[in-house]
Amino acid sequence: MTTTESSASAKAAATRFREVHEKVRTELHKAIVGQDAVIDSVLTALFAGGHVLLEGVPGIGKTLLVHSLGETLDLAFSRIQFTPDLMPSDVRGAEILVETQGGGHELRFQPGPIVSNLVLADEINRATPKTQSAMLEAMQERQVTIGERTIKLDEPYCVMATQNPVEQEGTYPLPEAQLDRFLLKVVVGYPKEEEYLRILNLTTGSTTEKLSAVSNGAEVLELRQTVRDVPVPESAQQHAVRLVMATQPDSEYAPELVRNSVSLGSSPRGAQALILAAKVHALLAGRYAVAPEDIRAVALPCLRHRVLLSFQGQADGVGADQVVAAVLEALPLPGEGL
Amino acid sequence: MSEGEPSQPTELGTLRADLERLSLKTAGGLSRARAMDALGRILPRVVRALWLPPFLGVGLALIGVSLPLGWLFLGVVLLGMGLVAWPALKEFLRPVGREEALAVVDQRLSLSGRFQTAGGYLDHAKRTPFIVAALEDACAWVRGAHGVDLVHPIEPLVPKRLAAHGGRAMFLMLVLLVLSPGPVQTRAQEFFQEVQDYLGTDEPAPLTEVATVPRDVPQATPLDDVQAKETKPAEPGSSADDEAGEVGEQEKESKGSTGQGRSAEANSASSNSSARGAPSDQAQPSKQPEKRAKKGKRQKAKPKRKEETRTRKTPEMSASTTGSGASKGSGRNPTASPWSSPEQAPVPDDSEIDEDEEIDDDEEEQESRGGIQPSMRDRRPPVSRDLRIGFGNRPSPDANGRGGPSQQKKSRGVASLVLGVPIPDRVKGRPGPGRTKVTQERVRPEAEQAPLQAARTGTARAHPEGHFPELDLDPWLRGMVRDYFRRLRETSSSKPN
Repeated sequence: MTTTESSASAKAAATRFREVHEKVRTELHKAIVGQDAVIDSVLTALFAGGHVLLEGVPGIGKTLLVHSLGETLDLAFSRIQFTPDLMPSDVRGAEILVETQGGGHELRFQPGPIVSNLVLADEINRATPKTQSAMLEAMQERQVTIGERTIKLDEPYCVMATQNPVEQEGTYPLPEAQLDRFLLKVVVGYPKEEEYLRILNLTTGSTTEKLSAVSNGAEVLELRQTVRDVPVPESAQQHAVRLVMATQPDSEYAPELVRNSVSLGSSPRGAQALILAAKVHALLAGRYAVAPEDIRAVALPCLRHRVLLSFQGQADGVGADQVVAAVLEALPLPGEGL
Repeated sequence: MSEGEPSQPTELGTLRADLERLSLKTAGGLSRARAMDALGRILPRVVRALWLPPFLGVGLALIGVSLPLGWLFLGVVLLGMGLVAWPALKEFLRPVGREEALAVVDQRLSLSGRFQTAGGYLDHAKRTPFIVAALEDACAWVRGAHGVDLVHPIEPLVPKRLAAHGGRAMFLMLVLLVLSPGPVQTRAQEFFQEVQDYLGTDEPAPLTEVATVPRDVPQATPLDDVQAKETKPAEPGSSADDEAGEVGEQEKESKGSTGQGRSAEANSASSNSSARGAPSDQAQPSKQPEKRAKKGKRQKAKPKRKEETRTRKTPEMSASTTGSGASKGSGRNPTASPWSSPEQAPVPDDSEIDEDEEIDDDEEEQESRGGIQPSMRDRRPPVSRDLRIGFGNRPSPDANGRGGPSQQKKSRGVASLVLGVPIPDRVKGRPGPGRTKVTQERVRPEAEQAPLQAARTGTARAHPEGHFPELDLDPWLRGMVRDYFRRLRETSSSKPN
């Protein structure tokens, strides 16, 4: 294969990525009004092979978005409504006693809703941490172990969890280990005024918009491979590493706000998330390699849930978004300000 | 050139040379820009420092000290130039790498790191399709970048206002330079010259000459002070009465009435009577001024003795002096031999002088206790003192332990306050009541009759309470709680996870 041919294949893959992305996006907009950034973030997590945590007050379309995505991608979709009395076996599945034809009984494995392609964990922070932790193995290793049985989960596998703001009553904050397993945390805000009108027209009429499947699991896997192929130059890697290190209070790159208000910074998983999400961002920007700008563009959703505020930070009213903004300000782009 | 306008793609082979040229061009501009940036940071400070010499010159001139303003100004200018030049030179000479230069180009042209990526992957051994695509992407932009002016905008190094400041400072400096006289001798130098001239004569001035020095001469220097102490005949502040008293006493001394030639014992024994009896014709209001005058005279006498030893080679000059205090309180009789003969002149002895002062202090203490008391040094036991306890087992009826066969003395004054005086105990009650005795009886418990207590009747709440609103604390209370917990966390050893 010559140089020209090889670059052509890369360009074609990138072009196809953008096309599919645009198709899915357009289809989703039939059901979701506005929320462009949220849709882009969800698709970024999907194509990067990660999971996404959607946070927002009730009634702003979080569940609808994930449900619509399942329909659009023609993927096996399951939903778990997390409640305080939900047990881990309700999530993972269990062996149940069934009656056989001969009148006997046997134990048969009944997989839980976690065994699917696209899992909507609705209001995940309403369940106890014990049940929340039941998803850890599935999210990280793409498998579920029940007793002596281990079930490999089908790819593409993506957990899209929604949660109410943790300040609400009857919620349990997610454990750090589970938060770290989400590639992105997307904060869903209220719609704009013109979007309200469209939402009302769309949802209160007699007709409902039917979503069609514009892609499928196989294509999503191909696009994930395309994303993985995007090279990351050393300068971009270095920038990602420094950003992650800057969230750690003991690091030399940490700004004053991080030193004072952060108890735990991002783990190396944060740097992985930055790079993967930046690859998607670079492809969508029409480039074939990741630039430091891509890293910075995805820094907020990638790092905001990996920063654990200290007691002093909470007392001072500092938010995780402020911390990430301070980190971005403290570390300028290479070549900036010279 | 903007991000949306790539030029015609160039060959991959020429990309390296193009990027190299671009980075060299940018590196030069970057070094200059950094140097200028460093200049721009430091120059305002140096310009402000130009105010220092004129202000310093004017300030010192006001207090009478002149400085070589020209040299000061030159020093400040040279130092400032050094401070400006060194960081700028350092920045200018700092090497700029290719990657850094290409990053700057990317920033300038908003290329999202395309050149930086291409520069990084040019020497990459294994080129994936995406790397090749990235290099080709950079090729499409590199031609257009050559035509773009990458010179950094250089802001004026010194703002106009600051430049005006510097101009004014320099103008003021020039004016001062013109107005200031040539070689200036400082006041301090003049003073030291005067002192040296004055100290040029080794021998001290004669006593009579020093005595004729007018008393109202200002004591400007410490040296003058020392001189005045050495040769001072009398305190300028002392009154004419003191002088008259001194003269009178000199006369008395010649008559031997002041008692200064007596022995210490005699002096201590009869000093009070003589001190009180002598001034009957002098009409002194109290004894305190007299004492002060006497003490002053004693102090004055000491330097006089030194002067005498110094000037005894000139007896004709010291003959006019009275010689008072030459052997004061020393037990020697100054009249036994002529004091003016050098062989018999007593050598002043410091220990004798100290002894004198000690006796005087005793007198002062006794007087200050509120009256003249007999000297305690020569007290003797009373004539009859019966301290016997008794005769055999029988106590002596007359013995009271206080000396003298007399009745029990009444206590009065301070003695009555001493606890040794027996005071009747007026505290009532029984001393030492003893242990408390508790008697226990074995009694069978009996039930008491009491009315039954009815239980409180409780009813269920009529309506659900609903959600409690979140407690919204007042800001001051919230701050207090926050500070409390913060301190609590700080003091706790374990860090929260």
